[in-house]
Parts: sequence; C-alpha cells; structure tokens
Amino acid sequence: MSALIYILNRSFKNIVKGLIRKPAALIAYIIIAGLILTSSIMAGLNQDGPRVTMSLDVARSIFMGYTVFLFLIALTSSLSGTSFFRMADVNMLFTAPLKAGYILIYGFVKQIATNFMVMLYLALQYPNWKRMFGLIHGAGWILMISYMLLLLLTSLLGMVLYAYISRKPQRSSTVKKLIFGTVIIFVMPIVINTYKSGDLLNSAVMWLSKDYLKFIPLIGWFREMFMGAFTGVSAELILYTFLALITIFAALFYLYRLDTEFYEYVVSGTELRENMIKAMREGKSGTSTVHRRYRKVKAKFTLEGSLAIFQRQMLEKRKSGFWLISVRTIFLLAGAVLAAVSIPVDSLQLITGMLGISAYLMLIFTLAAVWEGDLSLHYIYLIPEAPVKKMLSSTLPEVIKIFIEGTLIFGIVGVILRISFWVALAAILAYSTLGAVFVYSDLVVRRLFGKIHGNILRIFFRIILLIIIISSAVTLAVLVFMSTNSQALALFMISVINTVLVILFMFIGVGLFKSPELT
Amino acid sequence: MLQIKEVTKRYGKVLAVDQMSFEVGEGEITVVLGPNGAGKSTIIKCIAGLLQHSGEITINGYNNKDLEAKRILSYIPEAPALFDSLTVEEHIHFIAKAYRLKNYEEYAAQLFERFDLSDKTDKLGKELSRGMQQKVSICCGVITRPKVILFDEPMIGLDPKAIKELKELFVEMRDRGCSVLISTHIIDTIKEVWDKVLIMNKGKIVSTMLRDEVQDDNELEEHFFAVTGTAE
Repeated sequence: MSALIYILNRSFKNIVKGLIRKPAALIAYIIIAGLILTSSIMAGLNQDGPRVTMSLDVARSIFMGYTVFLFLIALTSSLSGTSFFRMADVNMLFTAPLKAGYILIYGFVKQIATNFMVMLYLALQYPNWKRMFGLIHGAGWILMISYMLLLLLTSLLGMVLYAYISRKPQRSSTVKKLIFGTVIIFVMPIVINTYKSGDLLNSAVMWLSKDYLKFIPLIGWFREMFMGAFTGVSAELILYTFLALITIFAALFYLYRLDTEFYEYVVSGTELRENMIKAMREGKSGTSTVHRRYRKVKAKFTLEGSLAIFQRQMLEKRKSGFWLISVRTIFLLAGAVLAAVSIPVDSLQLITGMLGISAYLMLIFTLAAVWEGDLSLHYIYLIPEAPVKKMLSSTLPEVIKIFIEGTLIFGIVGVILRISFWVALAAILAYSTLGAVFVYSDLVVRRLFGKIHGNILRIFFRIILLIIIISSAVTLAVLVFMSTNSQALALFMISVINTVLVILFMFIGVGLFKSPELT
Repeated sequence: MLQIKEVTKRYGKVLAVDQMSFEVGEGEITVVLGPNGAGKSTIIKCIAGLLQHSGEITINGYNNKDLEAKRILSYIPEAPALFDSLTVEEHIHFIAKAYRLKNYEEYAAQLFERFDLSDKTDKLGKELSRGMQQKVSICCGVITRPKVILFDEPMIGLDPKAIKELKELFVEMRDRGCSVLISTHIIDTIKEVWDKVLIMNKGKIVSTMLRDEVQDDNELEEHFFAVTGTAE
C-alpha cells in the first residue's frame, strides 16, 4: 500500500512542479482561479444581491435532467470499456505483488482527485448560487457530497456494466438497445405533452419534477439528494444517501471479487482512456475522436499547392460527416427548430436568443478543428507555400462549415418564424463571423501558449473574447437598434466588429506558420 | 548541400543544441549519432524549420525557411505522422499535389512495392500498424525526390526487409546527388551506408569521422563509446 501512496504523493507534487515550469499557463490558471475566487468572495460578502426566483419544480427538473445525462454518458461510454486507471497503473501495478483491493482503492482515490477541480469549482461557486437561488444553510455540503457520490457511482457502474458485457460480447447490443429504449420511454411524456401544448420547457419541467420519479433507483434518489440544497436535510435525504453508498460498496465489492479477472476488464477501457486523453491534449473532443468512423469516399486531388491542404480537409470532412454538416450541426438545427415551434416568444426575440445560445454552445463545444490536427503534424510547415496561403487553406474549411451551419439554422428557423430576409441574413453573418473569430483566436492562443494546455485555456480565452465582443459589438448593436429600430442593421454591426477581430487575429496568427515550434 | 552554422537551440533553461556547425555535401550520407537526449532530433527539427533557433541553416544556399529551400527538402519524423482518415494512396496524392509534382504515380507504385504497401493502398492511416505508418511516412518524404532529406530515427518499428530496402534507398538517393542526413542512436542500423558520422553528446558535436578514416564499423562503435563516455 505504501507504494501506492508514494505514487499518489509524487504525482501530485510533479503536477505542481510541471505547472511552475510553464509560467504562461500557470499565470492563466492563476487568473482563472483569481476570477472565480473573487466572484466567490464578493458573492459571500454581498448576500443581498439580485435573486433568481426559481420554483422547486424547475430545480428538481434541472437536477433530474443532469443526473439522467450523467448516467447516460457513463453507461453508453462503458459499452466500449471504462476505467479510472492510466496505462502506467495497468502495466506496473496489476503485475506487481499487490492486492487487487488495494489497487481498486488507489484507482478510487485517483478518481476522486480527478474530480477535485470540479468540486473546488462547485465549492467556489456556492456563495453565488446560495445568494441567487436562496439555498439553505449547509447546501454546499449537500451538493458537493451528492455530486461526488454521483461521479463515483457512475464511474463504478460503467465498470460493472463493462465487466458484465465482457463475459458475453453479444450482450453489448442488447444493453445498448435497452439503454436507448429506456431513454425513449423516459422522454416520451415530454414529447407527447409538447405536441399537445406546444410548450417544450413547461412540458419538460412538468415531467421531470414528478414526485414519483424519486422512486427510480439511483437517478430518482440523486435528484432528491440534490434537492436537499433547497429543502434541507430530511429523513428521505439521509435514506437516499445511504442507498447510494450501499450501491457504491456493492459495485466495489463486485469488482473486488473479480480479482485477477479485473485486469482484463480494465485494460481495454484504459487504452480507450489513454487515446481520449491524447485527443483532448491535442484539443480535440476525446469521445468523438476515439469513436469516429470514416466513410469510404473515392476522391481525386485536383488542386495544387496550399489549395491541396484545403482539398484534403474537405475530403476528411466528407469522410467523417455529411460533407460539411456534422453531428453538431444536426443537433443545433434540431434544437433550434424545436425551440422555434414550441417556445411561444416574439420571433425577433427568439432569433436573438438563439444567436446568443448558439454562440455559447460554439464557445463550449467547438473544440479542435481539423486545422489544429494539421498544426501537430510537420507537413503543413514543410509544404513550399506562403504562410498566409497555408493559414487560409487550412482554416477555411472550418469557417465554411460554420457558415453552412449558420445558414441552415437561421435560414430554416427564419422561414418557420417568418422573419424578414435581412434579419435572417444578418443572423447568419453574425453567427459565421463569430465562428471565424473563435477559429482565428485559437491560432493566437496557440501562438501565445504553444500547444494548448487542455481546453481550459482555450475556453478561458474565448470567454475573454466574448466579453470583448459583448462589450463592443453588442453595445454598438444596441445603439444602432435604438437609433434605427432595425434588428438587421444591429446584427450586421456585430458582424462588422467580428470581421475586424478576425483580420487582427489572422495578422497575429500567421506567424505560427512562419516560425513554428513543433516539439 | 546542407550547411549549419553555429546553431543553438534552448528549451527554457535547457541547452539542447550548442553552437553546432557542420555540412552535408551533395551525394553524401551523414549520420548524426548520439546517446538518448544528445540533441539529435532537435537539430534535425531545426533544419526542417520546425523549431525556432539561433544561427544559420542553408539548403542549397537558401535559408531553411525560404520557399526555395522547402521545395527541395524532405523530413521523415521519428514518430510516423499520418492523417487518420486518409488512405495510404491519398497521402501520396496529397503530398504530390501540395508540392506540385508531375508524373509521380510510377515512382509511388515502385515505393509501395518496395515497402510492401501495394496491397494496403486503400487502408486508412489510423488502421495501419506503427511499422506500416513509418513506411508510408518514408514514402511521403521520398516521393518529392528532394535534394536534401532528413531522417530522424528512421528504422524504429520497421521489419528487417523494410530496413534493407531503406538502406538501399539511402544509397540510391546519395547516388542521385541527394544530401542525406540521418539521426540515430543505433549504430548497427547505419553500418555499410554512412559517409560521415557526427557524434553528438549534450548538444555538441564531440567527434567527426569520415568513412576513409576507419578500418571497419567496429572501430566506429568503440570510438562512439569512448567519446560519449558511455564505454563500460
């Protein structure tokens, strides 16, 4: 056991040392931590600020939705293997003369440590939430403990499920059908209600807050545990926490009993995890990169020079999606159409709201594009073409993709909502140019920080950018709207500011292609 | 002709390459030999223009960052770097088009044949084993018929037949007048082919040997251990 404690101890110290060695990343992390801490202290000192009046039913629905989402992610990803070990653990510890139980506890502690940052963030956000949502005294502990138990349980259940499937691989498709069947049955009341009332949000809240859903094992229990932050400690809360703990121990015991077989179940999940970590370090979406399948497409390279880079990326996009339409585009379009037909709000307000939400989703979900993969390979730097041409050729497919996404979303929604052609066009341009700002700002981040230190810095930089855009472009847009009363003109102003930023970022970012530092 | 003059590269406080100068003549195979961490890959990456450095690097008289230099330079990295979703054949077509090559198909077919890739041209980059990826990576570097070519630990992951073919390819490129620079820490892999050996240690060239100066390859090995202080 002392060997395992040694690894945990040394790993922690080395992470801290590693951060000190990268001052730029460390400074950015300190700024992020400082901002969160300041907001936390300010909120703690000022508990009389504005409150959000949220009904308990809405809170219950949010917790239910989130718990279902976490379970769904954990169970579906477990179908191809799941693990909270790294490959070094598997290769060195599983072959060492250590008890399987100790190794399991070690993995468990590592998992808690992995979730520590999320916990810390939650803890620091607590004063804000307490003020805004009027949480009870001690709600922070309830939320943190419940969340930690939820994360542990979902990880463990994923491993148990994988162990169960591994014994007979044909079980995988049955379990998959079972999971998706259950999800369809679960969301059916929302669909039926939305169909009847035309109000998606109310239908979702009505269903997800139903009292009897608390009897659904685990999912329902966790909803009630989280609700303790609003309703206080009750016998029910203690009972559900106790039941969650029993389930965790039962899962641990099951895995412990597997003993030597345990290695077999962990190794493939660990390989998958390693690939995901590698992908995420390259700024890609871990899950989609690892599970990505490519279609067979016959294509011929016809363009020469830097345009060959453009053509290659377009070919890659054809292979991984439907031309320039990705899964994300389909989800965004479905969400926007659903909102357009089911949210009874003024059309112009709705389209502005959609633009805001799409921008936010782009902030969170547009991680690495194909061009970023290019930057980690040597080819792009060696190709004998001018750096600016290579930059444009490698980034243009992503910008075109975002433009098509914007055209589909705001074009179709524009028709449904019967808004004017000019407003729809202005929304498409605002969305596309914002996407371009994010694409070219990533070049700048890459130039400043080298290979992006996870996605935290990228998102942090994008948040700063959004603040700049909101403070300049949106303010200007509001002023234009107030003086002209034209929403189209106001949205065009956002595009103008975005375009200025894009040109600025291109100017800074092109240096990356001139003078790389490909380590 | 490749010329390196007083090139220095630092990673923070670590001096990876220290005031290094050497030349690789036309039709010459130069091997950079050194223990792990000697700075071999770093100098190769500096020459390829992938790392920022001080000092001067010229390729046939052009600065290594100039387009003219890039047109005649090829680099095969230590870890094979392929595009996940491109097939073996598409990799070659992509490189050929990016370098504006004409009539390359026959040469590509020859390379595929030599490296046992002919029946794998439809395989995606991600579907290949490490050794196969290395072979494709070599083909991508060679297809442009460069005047200067850099190989960083090219033998790692290759099967014996591919190693033999690669050695023959080194010699063919030399005979064609190409300047070939190979970095390796495995002396056995470059026996028979080298014209000049630069032994590196701690970022510096500690010894230079010419083929004419040694009786046999065992002498090279003994000398290597002596100058790098790694002798038993």
